[in-house]
Amino acid sequence: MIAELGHFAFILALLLALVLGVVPLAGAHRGAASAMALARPAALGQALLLLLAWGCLVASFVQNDFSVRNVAENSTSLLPLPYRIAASWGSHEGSMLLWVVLQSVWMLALAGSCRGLPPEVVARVLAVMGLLSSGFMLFVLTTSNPFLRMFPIPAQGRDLNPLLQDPGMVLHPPLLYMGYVGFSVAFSFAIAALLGGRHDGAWARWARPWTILAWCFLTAGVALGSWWAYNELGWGGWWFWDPVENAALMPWLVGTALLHALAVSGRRGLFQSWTVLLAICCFSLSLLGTFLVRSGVLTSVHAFAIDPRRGSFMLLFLLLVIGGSLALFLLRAPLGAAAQPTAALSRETLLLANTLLLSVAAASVMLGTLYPLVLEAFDLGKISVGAPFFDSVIVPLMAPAIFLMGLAPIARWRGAPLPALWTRLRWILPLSALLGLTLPFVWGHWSALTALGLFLAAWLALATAVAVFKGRRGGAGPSPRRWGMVVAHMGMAVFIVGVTLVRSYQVEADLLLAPGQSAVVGGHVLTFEGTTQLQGPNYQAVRASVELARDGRSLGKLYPEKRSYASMPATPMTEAAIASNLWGDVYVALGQDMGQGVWTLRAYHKPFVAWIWGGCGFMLLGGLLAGAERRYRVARRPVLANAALTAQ
Amino acid sequence: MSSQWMFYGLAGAMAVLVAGLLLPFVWRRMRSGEAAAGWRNWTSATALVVAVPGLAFGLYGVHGDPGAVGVERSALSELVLRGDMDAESQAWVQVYAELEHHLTRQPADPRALMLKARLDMRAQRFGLAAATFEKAVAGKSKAANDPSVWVEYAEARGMAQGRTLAGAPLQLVHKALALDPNHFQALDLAGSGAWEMGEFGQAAQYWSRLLQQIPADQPRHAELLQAIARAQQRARLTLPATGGPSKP
Repeated sequence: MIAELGHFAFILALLLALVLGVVPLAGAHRGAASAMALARPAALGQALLLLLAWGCLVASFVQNDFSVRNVAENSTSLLPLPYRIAASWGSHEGSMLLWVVLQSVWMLALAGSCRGLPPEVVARVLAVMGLLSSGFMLFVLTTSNPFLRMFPIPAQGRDLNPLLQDPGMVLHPPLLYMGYVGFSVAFSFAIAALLGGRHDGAWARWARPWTILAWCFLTAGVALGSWWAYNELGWGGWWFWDPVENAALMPWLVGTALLHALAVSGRRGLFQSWTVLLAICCFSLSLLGTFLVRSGVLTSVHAFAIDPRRGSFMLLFLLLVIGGSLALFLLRAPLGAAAQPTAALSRETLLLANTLLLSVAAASVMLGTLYPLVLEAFDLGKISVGAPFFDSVIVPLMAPAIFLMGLAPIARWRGAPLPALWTRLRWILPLSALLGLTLPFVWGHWSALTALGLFLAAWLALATAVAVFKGRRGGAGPSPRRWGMVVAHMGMAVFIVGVTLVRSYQVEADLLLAPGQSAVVGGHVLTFEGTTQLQGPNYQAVRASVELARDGRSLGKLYPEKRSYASMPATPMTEAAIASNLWGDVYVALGQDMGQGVWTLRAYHKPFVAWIWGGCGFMLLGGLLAGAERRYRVARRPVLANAALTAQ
Repeated sequence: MSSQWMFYGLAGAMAVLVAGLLLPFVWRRMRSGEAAAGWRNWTSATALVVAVPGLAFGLYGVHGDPGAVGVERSALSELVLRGDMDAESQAWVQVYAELEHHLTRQPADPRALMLKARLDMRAQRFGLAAATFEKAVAGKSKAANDPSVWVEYAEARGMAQGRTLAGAPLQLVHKALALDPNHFQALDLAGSGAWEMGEFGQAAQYWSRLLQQIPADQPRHAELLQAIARAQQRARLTLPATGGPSKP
């Protein structure tokens, strides 16, 4: 009964979303207050119904209700409870339900905190979100229904994909989706601004905290996905330029550009059209990412045809949303308005340049991701676009972006003469160059890319510190927004150090060891002590014991595993063991049994790799601090409806 | 109260709550007297309040499965999984009806299609079974990649057309062999089909491949050896004369 209740609640939510998408929008257009007032209760009802539907699906997983096809195909009664809950979003159907549920959570939050906004703005924003979610709900109901039943009911389920049975994967999808759908708020504000003809900075101020929050979720989701890949896949990599990863990186890059553009638009009222375009592109890329991951097109463009209904629906929806919003942008954005003059060395100009660089970087990633798919779709051959392409394109784009990232907070709004700026920079530029040029010698090997990476990290950290110092001297108070910027930019510096050092100085070794034998990897002595058998809840494992030592001192033991899950006995899964500290990881993965107790092992020493996720953590914290800005809360005070707005 | 009634009670409560959310909208329209175009009549708002719950029940009727609420399905499923149903029994009739009901909602469910086809086979409704197998292997379902399903389909077609493998059934057997060249039943049927078509050499070849999979101490091994010998003998008898010029 629980699954059926969820199914009914989902259908009711869909109908309510359609009402939300049509009635308040029409009301805002015609100036009907009663229709506009429907937006908040409809959003509330939709969110509660979707949460109920999702809760029913989770309960079906928890109760091992194998009469529900989705449960039978993605869970077993042997699965530990946290993974049974996570299995509810482990499948295509469940993850699409999660998408609409999370979007409704954003709507609920927005509906609950927008009392101070003009009613027509609330009506338009919630209506646009209602239309978006009704499109996704129609997709779920007609092509990817997680509540469908099975007959006869199997005695046992098929289990969750073993790769997904990892703590990182429990949280990664909800966080990533919170980020993706969170950008729909900025998108909806932008569309509402276009529909209402309001081309001032107000919409940007309203949209900015939501965008920051969405960006934080996306940052956490991407970082957690990378951490999962590092821990779970057994290759020791943290980023593979895989299309699925790129699908998340593209909205992250444009989202980063968007939240900076919103700051300029909100504060100075500049670059309105560009900011609206970024908001549209950011959410469009989130949709594109979902399409790429969920249509089956990434496995192969021909996989698209396995279930053409899903791919076709999503493609049509994508074209409708992106095409419709871009058409609206062309019709309603103030493209012909005279641009306000801005100084070349002003903060706003530097931020604009940076948003452009980030957008071009996202476009490059999109080109590298879609080009092979387009070639394959038109039977023009199969090519693989991997790390060499992305490295050669992204580094030249991101290096100036990071340089500007350090420069912009030092520059003043409305600009300052070059000598004044130089006064602020005169010692940090040579110091950063010195650090970049000399630090690689500490690790014994100098390369231009390492020097560039360390220079940029040093420059960003020092410039951010100077911005804090100058700000304090200039009387700028310690606002959360300012500290948010500082922490996030410092996080980026930490991230660059991690990426640079792990790429330049990681050591990898394929070992063949008998019990008692040792090998040296990155200055660490690894002694293989043998293997034991292990019985897990839904798998059997071979666990190796490896003693780790450095300079004659034991650092403990590592226990890499090779697991064989009952659901996939032919595909053993590698569970790497990692000894981690601030200065580097020793990573050991168990390979093949060569007989007589001899095993192959793959071992890595990865200096400063934890700084990559540490940097992401600082960026996330910075985002949260910036989102906690007091004026965003103050902005909730009732705003008098502007007669000019309602006239639209 | 049965679980089905409880479900409808709770679903009804949800629908009433949704209507309750929308009612203030009607109330405001009645009181405000807004006269903008298209919004003059509060009846449109009332219709909305009624239509949303009504449509929800309608859509649920199409997409939902109210029959799944009861406990009968679990008991029937256990019977099916145990596989000890008598083809004449009441349980068999119930399972069949349940499958037909399930397939009206999910007409492309290959698992249910295959099960229904097998029940039809057991009830000797070979035409129905063949038609259902045809649906099961349509498209790119998992069933279409299972050679055993193709063999069952071939058997159903063969039985339906008068216990002969000639024609379409033999083609289906060859599809099974294309998926798995050493499939036991497919090789057996391919040999029988070739024998039926008078292609004795082919029959001997298929059965020889089958023979490799049967332990020598089993009675089936000896039977198959005899069958291969007979096929080879007939193949020799039917060989065309060689050496002479062929006729134009």
